[in-house]
Amino acid sequence: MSIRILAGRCGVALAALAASLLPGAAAQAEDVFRIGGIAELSGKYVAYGSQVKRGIETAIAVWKSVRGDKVAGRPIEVVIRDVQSNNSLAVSVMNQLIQSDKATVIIGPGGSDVGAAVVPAWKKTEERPVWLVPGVSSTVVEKNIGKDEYFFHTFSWTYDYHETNVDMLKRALGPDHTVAIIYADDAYGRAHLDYARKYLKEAGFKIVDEELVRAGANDFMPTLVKLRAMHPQIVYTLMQTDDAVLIAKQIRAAKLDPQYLIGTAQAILPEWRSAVGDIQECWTGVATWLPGLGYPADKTEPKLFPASATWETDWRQRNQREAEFMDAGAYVSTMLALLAVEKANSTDRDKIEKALAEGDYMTPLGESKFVPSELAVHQAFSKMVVFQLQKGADGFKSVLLYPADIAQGKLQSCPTE
Amino acid sequence: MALFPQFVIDSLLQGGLYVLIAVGLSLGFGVTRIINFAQGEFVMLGAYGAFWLLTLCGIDPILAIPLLIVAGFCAGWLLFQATVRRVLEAPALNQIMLTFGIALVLQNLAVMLWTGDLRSASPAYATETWSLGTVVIIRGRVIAAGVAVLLVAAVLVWLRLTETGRAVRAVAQNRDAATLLGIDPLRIYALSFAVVTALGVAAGAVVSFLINITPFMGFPILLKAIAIVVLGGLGSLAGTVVGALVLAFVETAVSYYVPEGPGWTEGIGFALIVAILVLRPSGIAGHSVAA
Repeated sequence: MSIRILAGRCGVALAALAASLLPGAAAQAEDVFRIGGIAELSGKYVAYGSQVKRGIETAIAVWKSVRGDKVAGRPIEVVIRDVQSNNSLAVSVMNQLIQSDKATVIIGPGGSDVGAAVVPAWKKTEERPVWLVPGVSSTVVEKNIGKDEYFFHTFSWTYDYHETNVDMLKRALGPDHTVAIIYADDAYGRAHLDYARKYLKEAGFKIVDEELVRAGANDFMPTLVKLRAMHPQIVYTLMQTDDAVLIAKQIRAAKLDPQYLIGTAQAILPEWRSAVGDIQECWTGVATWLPGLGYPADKTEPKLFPASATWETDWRQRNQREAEFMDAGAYVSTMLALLAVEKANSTDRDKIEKALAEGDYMTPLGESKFVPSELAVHQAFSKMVVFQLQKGADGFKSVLLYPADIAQGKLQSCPTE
Repeated sequence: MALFPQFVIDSLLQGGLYVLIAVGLSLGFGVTRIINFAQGEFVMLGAYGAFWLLTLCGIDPILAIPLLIVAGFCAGWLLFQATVRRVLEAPALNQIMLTFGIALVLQNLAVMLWTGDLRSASPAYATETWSLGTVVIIRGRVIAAGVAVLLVAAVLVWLRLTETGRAVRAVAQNRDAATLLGIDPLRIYALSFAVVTALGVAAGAVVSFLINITPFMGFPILLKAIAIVVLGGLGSLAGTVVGALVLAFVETAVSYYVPEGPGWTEGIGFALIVAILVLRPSGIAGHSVAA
């Protein structure tokens, strides 16, 4: 066990002890609406966790400016805890949020590994709070959650990524192309592999190679050298951001020269784009949200859910930066929770669950209506968009490719050396 | 067999990278007998230093190395005087806890200063290549291997041909005898710690364009460096070079020739270390002092 984990655990244990010694802590819990945030504020998923935190905090700030400091007559409290992208620490934090912090609603985390780790801790608690998850695509989580009615997923599942990606490829290119898949040997890569393979095969693409890379490795050349011999037209990558940076650089270095480079979430993240520099050109990404989708304002709550263009401007002013996809997800999730508590006029979890399930708003992330997914009960925002990073006169920009009705351009092949 | 030339080239270049990250740890242990658990964080700080010099001042990471070496040397000297010298005579556990503590402080300092965002320096040569038939050679990795060779050569020249270097070796071999000869061991320890820190920072400048830069990049680097140093023989620079190359060749061979090999590299690499230590507990080169 690393000292960092040990220190984190000691911190959590001390905090839990301190919380339990505070007189009246439990009694206070009933008088407030407390949002517990599980966020990766350090470690490999920091890009996701910081968005979860920003989204929650911005939603609370907007709520307070529009509706005042309370919801359903109760003060609003927010407790956001850093899980350091560490699974075992995340389990402790989930227990702490439920047992010590008495969170009414839990929001987060962002990363699939962390999400999968905390499910058992949440499920084992009989009086578990309502849990909204604006990230976590792994279907392992969906499987483990099952039909639990207190779980609300506000992000896409793994299969949504590949159904969307492959449909875009089929429409843009036709199926008569060869594909090589590179996947990481972690939970993310393995969870995505089966669905990527399934949809590519169903669409008629010819998979000429599947290569595994070790997550966190610094040298992917052996894999890429082997792959180069297969001359794939499309390289389809399934890995998290940190590995995706190195694979992008080394694909260029290995002179793989595919016609199309397909990714999952990495291409939307500014840190990936900044880290890879000019070689971001022609990579595609798939996401639940990106700026410029042009959704209208909600008719009943236009101040909380303005038109997406207005929301983006407002976000920029408040946070001094562009909104990212999980910023939007965490904002919308938090706002939906607040609206549900207000509608229920209670912090009772069954009443919140009912109000959430019945809610239907037009949000900056799209329509919020919860419907069943393949295995879980409450799913919203599973519709995804595909974009490509194309080089223009003033640098790189994300060009929407899919769905066709909002497309801004066509899939372009990668430049060859 | 078609992959063999590429396998050899990749192994050598990976070996160069491994030498770079392990040489400081090896030298540090050889002289002070303290395993510096903050060595990975010095690499991290060097990587950030190179990244920011490139981003803010346009200074290429390779050209930044001399500047970073000076900064690392000064920081190492100060750190030794402020902390490490106080545990020189303390039990090993205290020394480990101290250097772990320094690592944690540096990690968190990096998070506060630069956030946890992932970064990477992208000079053109990081992805530029030379082609020899079907063999592709990445310039950035050749540069890393070249810097590793230069640094090891410089350390060896310093240890063998200079008065101070000979004093370092004398203290490493027998501190009491060296003291009787008029050598101040505390000054030698401080000097060694400063050099080790400078080596870590220099390694960081090189890896800044080869791997991702985050505040948490140090720990995996430290693990790999410890594995190499243990494999080669604690405190032996020659052993460290051999250990780095052995590990690089084994890992690369597994990646190339074993189905789903990249997933097994770490496991097989550590299995090799266990096997070698069972057969030869002092490591490949056996225990020697700083050379």
